[in-house]
Amino acid sequence: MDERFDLVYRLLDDQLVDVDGRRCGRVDDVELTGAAGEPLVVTGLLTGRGAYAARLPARWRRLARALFGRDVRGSTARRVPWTEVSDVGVTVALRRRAADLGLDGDDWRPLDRVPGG
Amino acid sequence: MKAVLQIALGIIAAIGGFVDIGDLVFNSQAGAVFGYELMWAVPIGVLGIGLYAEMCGRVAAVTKRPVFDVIRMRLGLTTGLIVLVASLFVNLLTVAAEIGGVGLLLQLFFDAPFTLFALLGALALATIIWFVPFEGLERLFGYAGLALFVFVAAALYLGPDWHSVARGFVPEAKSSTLYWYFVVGLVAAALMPYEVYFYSSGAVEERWGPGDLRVNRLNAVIGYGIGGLLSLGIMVSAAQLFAPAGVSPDHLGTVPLLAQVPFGETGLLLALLGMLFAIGGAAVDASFAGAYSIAQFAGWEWGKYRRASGAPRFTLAWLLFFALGLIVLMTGIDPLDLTEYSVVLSVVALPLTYLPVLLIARDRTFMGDHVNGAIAGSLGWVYFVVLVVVAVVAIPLLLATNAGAG
Amino acid sequence: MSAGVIKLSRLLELRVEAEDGTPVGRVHDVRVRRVDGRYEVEGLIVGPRGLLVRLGWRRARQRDVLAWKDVMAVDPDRLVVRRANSSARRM
Repeated sequence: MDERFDLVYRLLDDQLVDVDGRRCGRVDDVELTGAAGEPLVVTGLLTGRGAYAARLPARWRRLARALFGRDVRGSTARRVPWTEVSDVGVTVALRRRAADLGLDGDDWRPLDRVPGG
Repeated sequence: MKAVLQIALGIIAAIGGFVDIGDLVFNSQAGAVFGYELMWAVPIGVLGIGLYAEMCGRVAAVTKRPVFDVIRMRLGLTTGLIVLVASLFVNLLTVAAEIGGVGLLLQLFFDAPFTLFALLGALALATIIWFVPFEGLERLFGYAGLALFVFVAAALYLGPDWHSVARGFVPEAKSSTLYWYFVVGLVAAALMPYEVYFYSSGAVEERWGPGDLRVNRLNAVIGYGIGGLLSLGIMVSAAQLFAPAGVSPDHLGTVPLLAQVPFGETGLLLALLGMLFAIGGAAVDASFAGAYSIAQFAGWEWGKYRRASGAPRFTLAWLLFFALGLIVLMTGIDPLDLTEYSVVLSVVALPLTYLPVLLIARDRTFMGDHVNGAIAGSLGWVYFVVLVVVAVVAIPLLLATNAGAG
Repeated sequence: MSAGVIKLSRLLELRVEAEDGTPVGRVHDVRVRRVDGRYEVEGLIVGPRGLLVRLGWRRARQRDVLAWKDVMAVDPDRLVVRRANSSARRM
């Protein structure tokens, strides 16, 4: 990871990839902790459609919430602690498996039983 | 030697996969109504798609980012979402039009309701996709699509007036709105966005790296270049057979006649086979393009190489595209009208997806030494202007000519 | 002011004003720097809301970096900065 980088240019909207190389969402928002006059630190990433509404222009927010859902942590959006990020490059690499980070929403067991595919 | 063979086979598949229902409809009608006068529009479209595909393929090989990854990354969520929705909409119309084409062709063999054949066609395609790996799909539909060379053979066999053909490559500024509608349609039919989403995602599916850039260039130049010959073959044979008779092919079933007249039953069967696989292959590509777009935008796992269970949302997405395409057809809309709408509306959405790719392709921080050279660079911008112009006039011309009805 | 969570999306939609109300622009990007293993916000990239930026194109040409320490307050609808002109460095 670079010592210095810009969040929108390099991190926001980038692909999340877990330790097995599995794609598991995008960086839909970034969580910063701090305040004016104090250090403001990157503490986490948010991923999931629940994070979309906050990104869209204010006038479309209600429509966005209706379409994409509210930010319900654990279901429509998930938080990934910054400590779980191992690298920010072409993609954002995570230290552990998607399932261990709660990012396995794209898992649908029934399709496992269908032959072929 | 084996590598050369593999590359050649890939290019051959690309040639056979060039034509879809939009090209068939617009080229045959253009030839029927305007003879050779619209020949010049085809190379413009072919050059455009070759350029766009080469850039997307290069970006995908070097950065491992297919088109919608680039779009989300460069345009962000809000603008990217607008582009996504527009793309998904035109993609859906295209899937419906292609399935409709398959249904129409199957209907030539048996007497049964069109919707039944559309359904059977969709089921057959979905089954083939399910069991055949990615590369196999491209080969299967691409090789069978080569049968469309029968139209090129027909065009040559019928002995056109080569002087008129040559003159057709010189653009003429006519005052007929129908003429310009066809110009837009011919260029747009060659430059369908789904082809590019599919091509760039395919580059990642097949694990292309910087070492595959030559293949990418050959695919784009030779594959699409020769593929364009198929379009010209359709137009020239239509100019020779339909134009003098005043016949405008308003049913897909009249197009195979162009091969039957010179070559009899053999010609007819080759034409039908080629059309069936070219259109069917396009239905596959278009539904995958839609699934790639949404999965890449959202960050889901995607790719045929992941198997259905490895990329469940992606799998459900392309299945859903087939289902929604069928639903569009069930509204009773005429598949050829649907084809024209899908082609025209696609070109309106095209600049939105073209520009981000062009900007990445010329960005050294992403592409390193593989950044746009002088040719791709200048042509790239020239075509952006061409696309914007075409996009702006497309809908007015569609309305003014009542979708080509005159 | 106690430390709280500020989402990047929130920062990006705030207009930036000097203490006296002079508009400075919009937050285009947030620059972070590694300090003791954490990534701290070093500054905000602020600029006018040009057409390209409106269209969402990243990397607008001219950018000013406003140091985070010059941010006085993060209000619900705006970011207040001190000494808007002197602290801004052209990129």
